[in-house]
Amino acid sequence: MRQTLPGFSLTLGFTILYISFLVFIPLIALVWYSLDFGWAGFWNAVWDERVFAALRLSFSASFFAALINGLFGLLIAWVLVRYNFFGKRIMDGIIDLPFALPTAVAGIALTSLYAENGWIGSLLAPLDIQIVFTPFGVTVALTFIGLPFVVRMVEPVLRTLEKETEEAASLLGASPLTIFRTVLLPVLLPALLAGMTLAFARALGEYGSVVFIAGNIPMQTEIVPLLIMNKLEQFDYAGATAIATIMLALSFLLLFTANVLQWWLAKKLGQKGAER
Amino acid sequence: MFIEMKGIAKDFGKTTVLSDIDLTVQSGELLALLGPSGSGKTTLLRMIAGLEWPTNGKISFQGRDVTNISAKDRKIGFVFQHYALFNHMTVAKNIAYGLRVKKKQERMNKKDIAKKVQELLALVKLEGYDDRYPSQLSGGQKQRVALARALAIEPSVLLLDEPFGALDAQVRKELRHWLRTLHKQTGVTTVFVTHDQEEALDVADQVVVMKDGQIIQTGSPVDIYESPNSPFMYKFLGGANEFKGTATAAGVNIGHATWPIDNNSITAVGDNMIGFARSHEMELSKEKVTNDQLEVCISSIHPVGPLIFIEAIHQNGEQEKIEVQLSKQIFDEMDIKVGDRMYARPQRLGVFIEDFII
Amino acid sequence: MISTNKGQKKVLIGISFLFLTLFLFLPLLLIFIGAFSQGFEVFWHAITEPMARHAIMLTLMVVVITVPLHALFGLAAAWSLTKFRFRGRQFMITLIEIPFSISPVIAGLVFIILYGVHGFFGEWLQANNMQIIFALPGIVLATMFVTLPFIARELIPLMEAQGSEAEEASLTLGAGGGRTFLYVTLPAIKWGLLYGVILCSARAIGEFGAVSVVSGRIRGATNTMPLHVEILYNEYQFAAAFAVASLMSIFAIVTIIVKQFVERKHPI
Repeated sequence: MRQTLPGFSLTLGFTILYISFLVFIPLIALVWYSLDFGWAGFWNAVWDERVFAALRLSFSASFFAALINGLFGLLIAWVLVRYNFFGKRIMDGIIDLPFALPTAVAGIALTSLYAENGWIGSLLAPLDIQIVFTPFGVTVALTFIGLPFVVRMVEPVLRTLEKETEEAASLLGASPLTIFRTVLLPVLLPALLAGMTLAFARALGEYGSVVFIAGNIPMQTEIVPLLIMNKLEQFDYAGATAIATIMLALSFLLLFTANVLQWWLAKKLGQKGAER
Repeated sequence: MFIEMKGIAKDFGKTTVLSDIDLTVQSGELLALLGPSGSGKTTLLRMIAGLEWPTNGKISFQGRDVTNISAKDRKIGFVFQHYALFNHMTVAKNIAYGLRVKKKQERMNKKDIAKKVQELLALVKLEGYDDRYPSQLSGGQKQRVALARALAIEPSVLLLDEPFGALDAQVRKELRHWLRTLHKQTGVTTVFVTHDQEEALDVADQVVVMKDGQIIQTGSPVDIYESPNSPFMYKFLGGANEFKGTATAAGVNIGHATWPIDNNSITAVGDNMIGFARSHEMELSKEKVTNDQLEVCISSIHPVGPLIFIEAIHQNGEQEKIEVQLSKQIFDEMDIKVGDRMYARPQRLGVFIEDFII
Repeated sequence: MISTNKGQKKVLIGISFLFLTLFLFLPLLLIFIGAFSQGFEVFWHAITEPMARHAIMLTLMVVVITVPLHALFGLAAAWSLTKFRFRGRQFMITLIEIPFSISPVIAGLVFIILYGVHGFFGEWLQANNMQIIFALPGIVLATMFVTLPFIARELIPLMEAQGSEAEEASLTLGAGGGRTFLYVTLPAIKWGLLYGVILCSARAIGEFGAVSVVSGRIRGATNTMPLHVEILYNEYQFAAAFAVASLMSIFAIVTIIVKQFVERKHPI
């Protein structure tokens, strides 16, 4: 079929070529390379206590970070959409800091802040709470980098929700908590989950902000990307590639999940539009 | 003739948008493409512009085949429903755009462009608006800028897609008459799309009514209004009473009344028929005089200024509601009250065989 | 009512600020305080000494190569994916986002596998005396992988919302594709493009994981700014580390300010 505007094949062709050379062919090469070792080699590289420990840490820290972000991200999105207050623009701006700030910079800043002699760390030390070089530190760093995802995902949805719906519910005698549970949460849930999934996916792969605060103690605070890095430094390409392949599969799965959630969200909002 | 479209068809995947359209537009004509939404009228207009491509068929301008010529080279003026002004350019820059993007050897010099812009601003009655930005204009003003921009390239055809669709009623009426005057002044062959039958009948020389990707009727506004060629046309134009009846040897039987019809040839006795009569073409009388009067009971009276709208119920198997529109003078003379038994007679009845496709 | 209660409002805003202070404001503040903790002299020396200067130049070089290419890609992708309707369009939009969900370490690893000594093209590269890994090309490739989506992702929703009518109008007025793009499309998206370019630059400057893998951290040769920060920090030169970090943080703050400005220019 003929297109109205010019340049379709040229721009689409360039787009596909560019993304193929830069992203797809390298990714396919990775999978290809890991297949080269055969099942046994792959299994050998992955079936290792250290790998398990890293996976356990990456998953649990990413999960808790996503959970914290879900909770506070929802709260902050709510505050930004519904309230006017002094400092709102600053709050809105700082949310994007983790997107813009180099991860290594975030890493050293968080480490210094939560270290035993740091501003916050020194407050926690007398309570015998240690953040730096513990799984808590990993979670702190992952919370930092994941925060914008939930806020920016929930905000627009919250904006489309009319206050009248809540007001109507409250006139009907519903308590604030009931209103939140029955009116708001069902509509916000897909966006919230999609935001949390993205934050989780980002956290699983994060490296720069975590390495400093984690301390990289094998079996204790070694996250998966760091394990890959360590294997590389020991020239264990087979091991690095095998773990990377697993991570890659997980990334695609998470991306797929986030997309399904967004699709669900679009459908839900679409229905809402149609009912009006 | 100016524009000729032959055997035009358009499919989007499995859905057919247009099928077998033949359309000619005469030079200097003001033609309206009228139809409900989804009738394919906008697609047809965009096809004339070269913004949409037919799956089948041929388009020619003055005998020259343009089917495969791009919009850029067709030299048509197109006015979009939502104006499509360039928001980052001033009014003057918008109008001058088509002149500035011409190839160097065809381009006017800057002075002539500026002069031309002033002429066009005067034509659309926006003198002094040169330096405004589109965001500073009202809807009607934006539409006039869009029109001036389209006219700047001295198009051989002017195409307008629902030109007044986004404006409020008052501005709409003004712009409608202004378009008519403008057309007289410039004499440019013009095609516009509308879903508003009143607008089409008011402005155009020629009206083409479309439905479901096909042309239903073509004619002058008078033709279209006086002799709709199908039940769809009566319903689409609106304001008509609908009667269900049966074909008999004598004509059409509706309730206890009978109408003779001209071309009996198309009917077989016993066919279900459907008749239409507009509310202002109905007469009421207190006595039954002729055979073509329907017995009705007045159910409501609703005066609107100099006109009186009367609703009456006719028992024809089931209850049929009939609307009658009378002038205040006749109404006062007749002394009609709710609940009166009266006789209604259509002065004219459009009769069709009832088919289920409507 | 949920959102009109005064006390509740104060509490919620308070909690939000507290959370943001612990996770965002304090770290940011700490970078700048850390940078000047040993006085301006140390700060100035840290950002002007030869190794730092080299890292800054190398980083700028990476940005200068990466960002224009990604801008071109972003424009092409947004044009083809928003001005036309075709099967697989939505899928393509999703594909562009893939680098977001892939660990930067993996982004570096894939290029080692392709171009490293033991990689697919390793021998060939060595035979032809070319080096990609542990050299500028590798750093650029890894950075490009990670930052690929940023500009396209700004432009796609923007151009989607703007539709194609203005371009169609331009076409009917006799302008070709090039002029239409230059005079009509580009001015309408310039602010979004600007933000995309700045965000992409910020990420290219700050890319750490992917670059760590491919750079080999050769001081004065393949050390970018973030890698330089890491080395200084690991050598306990905290003030110097924060000094270089503060430069990058300023760029991050500029990015945020530009975003706020652009969102007011064309809210989508």
